[in-house]
Order: sequence, then structure tokens, then C-alpha cells
Amino acid sequence: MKKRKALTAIALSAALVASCLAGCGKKTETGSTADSGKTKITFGVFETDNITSEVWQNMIDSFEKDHPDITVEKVLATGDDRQAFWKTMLSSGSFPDVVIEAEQLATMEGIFTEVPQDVQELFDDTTLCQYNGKCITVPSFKQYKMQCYYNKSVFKDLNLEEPQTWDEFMNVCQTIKDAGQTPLMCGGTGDIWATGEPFWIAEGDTALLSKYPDFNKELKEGTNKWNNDTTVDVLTKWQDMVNKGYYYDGAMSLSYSQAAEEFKKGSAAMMVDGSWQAAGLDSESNEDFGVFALPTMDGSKITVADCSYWGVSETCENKDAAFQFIKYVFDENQDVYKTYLQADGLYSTTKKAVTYDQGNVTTKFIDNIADNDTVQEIVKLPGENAAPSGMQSFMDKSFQNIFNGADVKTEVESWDTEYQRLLDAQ
Amino acid sequence: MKKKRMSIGFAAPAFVIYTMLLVIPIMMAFYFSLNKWNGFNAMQFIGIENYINVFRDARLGNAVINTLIISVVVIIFVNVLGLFLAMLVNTASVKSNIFRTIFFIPFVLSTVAISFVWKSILSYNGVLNGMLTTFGQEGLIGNWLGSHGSAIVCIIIVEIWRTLGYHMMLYLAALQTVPHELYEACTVDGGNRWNKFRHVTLPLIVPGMTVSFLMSIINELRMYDVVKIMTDGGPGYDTETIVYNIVSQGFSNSMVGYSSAISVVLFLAIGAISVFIVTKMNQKEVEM
Repeated sequence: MKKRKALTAIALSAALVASCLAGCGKKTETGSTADSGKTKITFGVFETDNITSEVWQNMIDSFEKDHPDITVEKVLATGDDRQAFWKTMLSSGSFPDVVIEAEQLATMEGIFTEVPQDVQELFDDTTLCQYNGKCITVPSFKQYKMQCYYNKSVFKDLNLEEPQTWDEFMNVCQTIKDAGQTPLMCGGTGDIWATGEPFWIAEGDTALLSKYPDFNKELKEGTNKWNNDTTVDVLTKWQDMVNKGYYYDGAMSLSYSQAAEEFKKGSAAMMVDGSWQAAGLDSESNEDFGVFALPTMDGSKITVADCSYWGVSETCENKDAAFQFIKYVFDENQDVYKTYLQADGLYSTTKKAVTYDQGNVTTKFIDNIADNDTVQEIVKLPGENAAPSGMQSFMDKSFQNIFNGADVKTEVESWDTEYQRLLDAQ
Repeated sequence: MKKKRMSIGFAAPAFVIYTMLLVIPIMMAFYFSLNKWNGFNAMQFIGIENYINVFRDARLGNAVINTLIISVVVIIFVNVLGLFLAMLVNTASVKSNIFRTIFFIPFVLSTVAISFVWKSILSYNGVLNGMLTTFGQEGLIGNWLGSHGSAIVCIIIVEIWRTLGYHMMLYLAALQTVPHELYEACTVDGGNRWNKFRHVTLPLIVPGMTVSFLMSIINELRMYDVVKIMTDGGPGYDTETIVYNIVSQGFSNSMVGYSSAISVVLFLAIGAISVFIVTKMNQKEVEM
């Protein structure tokens, strides 16, 4: 009897240990041959109001239909900080085989595999970039940022025209304020980027890159600093706008989605936002809003246009299938690429350019910047001079501090300290 | 001998699991903390440099202050209110079960879910400001989650609401171990309600109080999820806690070595505080 009890105890203990150890295992099927003899790859994505689950599923279903020997499993990044999510997956050994928005991760050596020449040749040479002399990512789209959306009826009621200069923009803000309305909307809580990043990209990046075209390189070499007159001037003017009451009172207690919703409900007359807003308005056939290019403070005709990149993991066990998937999306069936681009107001980076029917707001968005030079956002520049991972998040928090009244100079000084700290640490 | 072997047999799985999931990770964290490591590429041994940086990091210092503010206020409130509610519930009749359940529900619910609910209540166009508008109190409308100062108060309120029921239950369990005869003896000796509380209840619930204090200290020093969802550490760094900082340094900034050093320091701090509290409370137990 006692012996049976002991055996039962040992068996149960073994089962308990085994069940615990099962959780410690790494991915099993990824990159290997899954059931029914199909090759399986995982595809790391994120979803937004525009790039929905359906957009990705359409891409995956089309590929699987034309490549019945390969299955693609979607891995969805959750939360606001997608880079942190991918790094968590990386640490746990569950990093997807193909990852979108790979540009920041690519700065860490050994994460992505080199892109084969035939795949590189599908893309416009100007959009390809290198890390340590190797091309390890492919450009998935170009996105124009940021412009100012406005409520047409408010502008009409107050006889306002789309401003062409910074002073005119300030007059527009003051006129709206004097009329008892709120000029500008932004987000805050939970979506820290939504507070200052849109304004900074439209005014700060453009001002810095117009004065210092090689700002990233100079920053990395230590011959330039964030803390310069241009940065301080842009942020001081932004803080003045906040102090003058140009921003919606409760903006910092709103998420990005809530802020966009409040803007559409008429709680504020204008909102600085990316091209995804234009795509969203077009998909709703919403004609109540217009868009103008936010006039730069120095009058320069510069627009920020970021490229985003996909990468194939170095640990992917079936790189051929992963690159086959990339070739399919960007070359073999450009209908799925078109759907992806159209959903968020994006532009193709392939040699075989993909176009789509644009709605009125998106068309206006592009017309606004037709004559402008385009530059890449400072903290999102890919390649050798990329900003260290974590800088974006640090700046976003700093924008919130400035919005809430922190000393601009002190904040900008902390950017240089943090930039160097992150650079040294990575 | 056989009995001893059997005991070892039963204890072994728990020991293996504990070692694998707790002891080894702690030792690994200590090892990582002595290296410069981004979590992926090769480690570079740097000795105690990460520990030196821990004490120089202003942003971490701010996170420590925030954590201490949240911890001190929450610990005081949940223990005082928890004991008060436990005494009320303890004296109530069968109906007390309903109150126990009501007070305990927030602790059972997913922290992520309740954080989202509170976020929607406290956002500018949320339920609270909506109610204030409905009742004509527009002047009281606040930018609760977005203003300097008020965001941390919101976090504290949510944390008290979330954990109060748990601490009430700890105190209730302790109160139910107090023999009724002692209250009767106190009554016979002419003791009033305060005397009963001070000389009967309090000395006998010290073990429960120790557990409650310890649990609240450990919980609050490790606070992350409510902050992450409700404010993401904002506005700016106003609600960043130590654990939020550890996660940011490790995953956003790719500084796994440095974040491990902060984790080790936090681990030692919690350990030291726990030992201090247990020792002090044991002394109190003897004194009382």
C-alpha cells in the first residue's frame, strides 16, 4: 500500500515537472515542416484602425492559395511599444520569421539575415539601406508625415484660409481661439507619441534637417547636438502654443483614438497627424475635413517621408519560404500590396510602382507636398546612422514634460545625455 | 527512514520548480547585471559599472520616488481601511458574506481589465467628467490622467480600490482567530470597545498584520500593470515606477544588463524591507 502511494507520488511529481518544463520549450513548428507536410513560417505584424486584421489575412490567404505548400501564421504585436514587444519575443526565442517595421531592430547585429540579390532587385535603389555593409531589410512602403487636418466648417465660419506661412498659421490658431473654440487637438495618456511627435516631425525634423542635412551622422560622430538653437526654438514655440491655450484642455487625458474621435466630433478645429488619417477619412467618404501642409517655421519646403522595412529572421529555419512570401507580396501579386498601401495611405517602394485610386483627402495630402523635398524622420532613419533604440520613446516623454510646462532647455539637454547613454549601451 | 525519503520525494518537485523558475533566474539576473548586454548579441563583462549607474540615474531616481509615494500611501490606506472593513464585516451577520464578496471582487478581476475600465472612467471625455457635467459641476472637470500630480493620485486610488478587499480578507482571517472568551473577559474587567481593540484584538492579529503589511509592500514595490495601461508612465515620467523603468530599460532601450542591475537592487531592497518588517512585527507580537 505504502509502495503504491510512493509510486503515485513519484508519478504525479514527474507529471507536474513535465508539465512545467513544457512551458519552457521554444517554438516547435516555426520554420519547420508542420503537419500535413507543409512548411510553416510566422509573420509578425501589428494592427491599427486602418491596417486591420482583414488586410493581413487577405495577404496571407492569397499567398497560401498560390503556395499551397507553405502556411503563414500571423503573430500580432500588442501594446504601444512594438519594438519592445519584438525584443521580448526575441528574448523568449519566439521571434517571428518575417517581421514588419524591422528598421530599429536591424541596428542590432545578427537579428536579420541578408536579403538575396533577386529580392533586393525588386525595390527602388533609393529606398534600400545597409547595416554594416549588408542589406538585411526590404523597404515595405513610404509614408508621408505629418500635415494639419482641419474642420472645413470652422474655417468657413471664421473666413479662414489654409495658412501658407508660420505667421499665418499662428493667426489661424489665434482667430479660432478668439472665437471661443479650441484650435488644436492631440492625444496623451497611453499613446505618449500622440502628444508631441506629430508636431515635432512637422516642425522639428524639418527645421533641423533643413539646417543640418546630415544631422544623424553629425549626431553620431559627436559634431552636433540635439541641444541647439533650432531645437530649442521649435520646442519653445510649441510650448508657447500650449500656454496660449491653443490645445484642447483635456488632450493629455485622451488616447490617440479618443483624440482623433474628439477632433472629428468638432472639439478642436485642427489636428496634426499622418497620412493614415487621410486614408481613414477617405474610407469613410468624410468630406467635412481638409488638410494642409503645416507651414515650416523657417519657410523651407521639406516634408518628412519615412520608409518602413521588413526583415527575415536569422534564426528562421526556412528562409526560402520567407523570401518567397516577400517576393509574392511585393512582386508576384501586387494586388495584396495595393490593398495594404491603400488601407493606410502609403506609397510603394518597389521598382514596379503600385498605385491606387486615392480619395479626395489623400489626393490633397499629396498635392500639398508635390514640390517639397523629402527627408527621413531623424529617429527613424535606417542604416548606419540610425538613432539608438529607445530614443523615440524618451523624446515622446520629454514632449509630454514640455507640454506640461517643463523647461525646454533642460529637456533638450537630457536628449543629448540619453542619446549618448543609449548609443554606448547598445 | 522510509518516511524521510517519502517527504523528500514530495518536496523534490516543488524544489526543482522553485529552483528553475525563481532561483536560477535570480542568479542569471545577477550575472547579466555584471555585463553590458542588449539581450541578443554577445555579453561584455563590465563588473559593477551597471550598479554605479543605478545610483547615478536621475530617471530611475524619479521612478523610485514615485514608487515610494504610491507604496506609502497605498500601504497605509489598505491596511487601515482593510482592518476597519474587516472589523465591520466580522461583526455583521450572514449578510457579511455579501460584503466580503463585494470588497474582494476587484482583487479577483484581471488587473489589465480593471485598468482599462478605470482609464475610460478617468479620461477627459470619460464617465467621471461626464457625470460632473450632468450634475452641473463643470468647474470640477479635470484632466485627471494628463496633469502633473493628478495622474499619480489616480494610480493610487485605483491601486487602493484594487487591493483593499484582499487586505480586508487577511485581517478578517486574523480577526476570526481571536477567541471570543477574551472579549468576554475584557468586558468583565470593565473594558470598553477601545480597550478590547487595543488589548485583545490588536495583539492577537499582529501575525495577520505582518502578512498584510508584507504583501502590500511587495505588491506596491513591484507595481507595473496599472501604470502601464492607465498612463504608460506619463504624463512624461510622472507615474513611472521602478518596475516600469526596469521593463523600459530592458526592452525599449535594449539595456538588459542595466535593467538586471536595477532588478537585483530592487530584489535586495524588498528582501531587506521584508526582513526588517518581520523582525519588528515579531518583536511587537512579544511586547504586546
